[in-house]
Amino acid sequence: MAEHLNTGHPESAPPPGEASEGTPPEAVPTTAVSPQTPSAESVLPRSAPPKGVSPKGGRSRAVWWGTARRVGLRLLLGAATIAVVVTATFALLYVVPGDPARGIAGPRATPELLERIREQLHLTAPLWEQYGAYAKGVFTGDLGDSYQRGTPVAALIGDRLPPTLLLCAAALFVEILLGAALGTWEALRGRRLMPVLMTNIALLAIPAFALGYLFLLAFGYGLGIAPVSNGADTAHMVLPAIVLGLTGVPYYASVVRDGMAATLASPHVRTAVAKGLSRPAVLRRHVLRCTLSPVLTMAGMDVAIFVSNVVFVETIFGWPGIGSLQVTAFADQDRPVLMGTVVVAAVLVVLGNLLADTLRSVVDPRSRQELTT
Amino acid sequence: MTVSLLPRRPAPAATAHGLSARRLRRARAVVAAGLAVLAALVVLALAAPLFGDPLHIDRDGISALGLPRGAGEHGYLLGTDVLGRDLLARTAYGLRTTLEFTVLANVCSVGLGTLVGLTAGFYRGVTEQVLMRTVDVFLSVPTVISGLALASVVGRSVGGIVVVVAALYWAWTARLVHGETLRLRGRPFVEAALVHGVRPRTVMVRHILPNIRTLLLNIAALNGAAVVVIGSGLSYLGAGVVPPHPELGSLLNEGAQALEFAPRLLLVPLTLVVALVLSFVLVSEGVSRMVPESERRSWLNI
Amino acid sequence: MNQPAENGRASLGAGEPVEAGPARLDVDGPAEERSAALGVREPAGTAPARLGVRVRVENLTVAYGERTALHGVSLDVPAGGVLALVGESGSGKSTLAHAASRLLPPGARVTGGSVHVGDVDMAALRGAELRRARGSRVAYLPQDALAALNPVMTAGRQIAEVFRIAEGDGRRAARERAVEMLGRVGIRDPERTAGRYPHELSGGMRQRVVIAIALAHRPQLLIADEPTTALDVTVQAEVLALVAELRREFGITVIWITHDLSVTAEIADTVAVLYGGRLVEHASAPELFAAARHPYTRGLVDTYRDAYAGAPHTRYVSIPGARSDRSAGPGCPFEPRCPQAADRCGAEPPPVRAAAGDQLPDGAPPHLLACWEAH
Repeated sequence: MAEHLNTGHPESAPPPGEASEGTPPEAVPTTAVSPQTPSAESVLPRSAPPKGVSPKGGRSRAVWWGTARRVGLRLLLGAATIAVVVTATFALLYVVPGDPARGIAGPRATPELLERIREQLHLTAPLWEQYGAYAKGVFTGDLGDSYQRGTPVAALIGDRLPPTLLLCAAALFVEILLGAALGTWEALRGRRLMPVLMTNIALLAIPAFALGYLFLLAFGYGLGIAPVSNGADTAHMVLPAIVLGLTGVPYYASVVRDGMAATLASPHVRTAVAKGLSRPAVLRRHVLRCTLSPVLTMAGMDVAIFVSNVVFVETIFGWPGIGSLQVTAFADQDRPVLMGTVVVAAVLVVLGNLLADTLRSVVDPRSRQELTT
Repeated sequence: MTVSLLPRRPAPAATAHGLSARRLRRARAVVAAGLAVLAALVVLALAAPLFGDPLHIDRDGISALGLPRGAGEHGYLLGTDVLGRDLLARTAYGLRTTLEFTVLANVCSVGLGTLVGLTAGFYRGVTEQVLMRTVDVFLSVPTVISGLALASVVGRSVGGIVVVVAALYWAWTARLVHGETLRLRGRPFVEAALVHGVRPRTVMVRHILPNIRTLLLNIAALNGAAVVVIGSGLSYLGAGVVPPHPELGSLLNEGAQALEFAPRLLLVPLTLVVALVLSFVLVSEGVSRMVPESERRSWLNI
Repeated sequence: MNQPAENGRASLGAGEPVEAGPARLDVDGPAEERSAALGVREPAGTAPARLGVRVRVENLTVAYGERTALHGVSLDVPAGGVLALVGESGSGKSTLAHAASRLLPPGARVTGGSVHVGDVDMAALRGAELRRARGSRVAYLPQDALAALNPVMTAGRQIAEVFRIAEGDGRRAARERAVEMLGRVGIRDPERTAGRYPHELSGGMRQRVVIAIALAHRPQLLIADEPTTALDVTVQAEVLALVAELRREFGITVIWITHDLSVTAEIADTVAVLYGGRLVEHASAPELFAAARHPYTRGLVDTYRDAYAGAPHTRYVSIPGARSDRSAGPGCPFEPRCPQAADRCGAEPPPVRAAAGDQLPDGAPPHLLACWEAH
């Protein structure tokens, strides 16, 4: 839910057509070509580059550097995020009050047993050694063993990850399709539309778990057209995917509406109209791509929301993903699983942001120059 | 919650400036509707003791067949739950608990976020970098999953929910406030005050805070909605208030067990959760409508 | 060129005063020689192209909702001529430009009159006809080149698009012609510029790209809406020279909107002055600079002379009154600021009529004037 709020921030998704106005021309790596050529020849057409202009490749190298720096910075920040999350989970696992050994062995364990478990978990070693072992484990894919089941946490999560990703992909499809439809409708009509507004407010006001139960009652128990049992096949995926997708529709609708309205009102669309392009051609060639950039930013941030709401949806519909794994782990007080899922989810979020950012720089050349995040 | 609810280019100090009277009236009506719903819920929560004991198990609470009483039966206005407890009393007390942690967690997260955002945006430099990178980290932590992990350590209580939710939600307030502070920081009236030797703290309180109050109101409303969702959501997942004590989320969980024979047990708390979130959403929607929108007209239809 | 312009350029002389000036254009050879020498493709059998047609604006009235922004303005520009449309902001000059190029912002509409470009009334076109006329009959040169270019499309593709839609060229052919067009508007290394995005170009280069887009259609009329305002002075001079040059090469008719009389002096054959949405004076450029009649125009010309010819520390002459002090009443819009205002001026708008006075040279356009008091 709240992660979506980021997009309200001006620096996260500048409206197309306005964003680059603040960029002074000096910031552009085009120093090789001087635009100011106040010689008598300047008005004459030229077909060959005159002397003093650096050979081709100067610019592409500059662009390449810009992109590399940007990607590097992104990777660095992503790595830092994961490092912080790993540290935090370590703190929650080993430092806070509560004896992990007792957590594993249960309240009636003998002191000898507890001692043995502590030995196994290196709990007797100094803290920094424990941290080193934990961090090393995380980066080599070893998230420890489940207290309850004794199996490696990584394997448990590995089993549950594909269903979650599948569900999220289906939900993303629903979300973008519906959101884009509503947003485009409003943008082209040029004003706020009552049905869209009502849909948005309703979807904002109904939390994922409430929507999940309403759908389950209506389509599962009421109409009987959707399965109410647990399962992991396509038939079982329809309802959860729609519910998960619907929760994100208002955000997409407003991002698409705002992005598209800003583009439609920008002078470059007037230029396109002045060229004599037809309406569909203006939309297809000029409006669509400019609108895509904020939508991609949104999609990147979506991962965090999905990975949150997926917990409710998976629990309600009995979908065997990492969300329901986390709920079970909570009920069992299985801390290695709880923390392992957090680490994996954080990695997913960082990767999602990175992917969206990369796509955005493909779509929008201006974003290649932003060096800040 | 985005642009539909938050001003894309946040408003100048005078919120009503440049709005047509009709638009302003409508925006105020939307805020009023939200506040009315919220007020009704608060009254219901405050009146909870009138409906009886939420933990009392009545002999008449269960029918001969072992089923809970339906709405209106045996003097139970909303019927009873599977153990024979009065649903109305449980729901009203549940709403009370939900409102308690909503207010606390909202104040904590918005307060902390505002403090961090203001500081980062005002002092810039290393302070800004450190604070805002921390914010970035918190923003990329998925809330429910880490909420469960955190709750397993913090413990299950109203206080626990407040800590978990505040920890997970301060960051986006910080980010929004930071952006707005940055914008105001560069404005001549702020620079002028600083040049004239006004202390930075005074500048923040006198010049920046008043200018972001619309944004803060909007954030508080949206954050309120999010806090209700995440708080009752965590309760629903079992990470909230300890069972016999009612809370809307845990009532949902109980209701879900009775989905097939008494959907009422699910629908009643569900309606209240939706109403509560709706009240916040409406306030936020109204507040953002008080900000004049820049007129943008499509070139496509000329 | 008249005297003030020469003075103006000379006094600007911080960088390259003389080269950038308009006098240089006279040194250039005839258009066809240059085109041939540079191997630029001309349409078959027409070197040099004579695209321009006569443009007649008649009684054009434009309203934004309830508010009338342009009151029955009439203009006449001969084929291949350059008309400078002068006025302060709010005078209706941009409204006229938009109406003539059929790019009025949403909410504004032509409520009366016509804009004949050749024999086609732009104001009456609808649908597909209008689409075809946009660009090919009238091209519009906007003020802010960066905003007018699509930020996510390379300069080359934005120009090539015109060839693809207007002439059905293939992708490669259109691109080649776009590069050629870039060369033609004076961009060094057009091949490389074609592959760049607008934000990677300098202000002058962006303006040249916009000019290339406008001219790619081979329009009959070019409407330039203060395209040099955002540029610094040296680049501004280059762009002015380029347009003057291209104008002679293509023989295109030009309406140049400006609030800057030095620009007017450089490029215009005739000048029309607008005030408060009405035409106040219309004459050939030399005539207007030498013998302005309307009090507003006289004020403008005096201020301009003063600014360029005056010694340092001279006090500028300015037109009295605030610009916002524009009459919305039934009479002459300049009445509140006018030193010569009489009772009649506030009651009834003065009609446009021929100015009395000296004999104009043969072939010069008539000197038109809308004032009750001046003659």
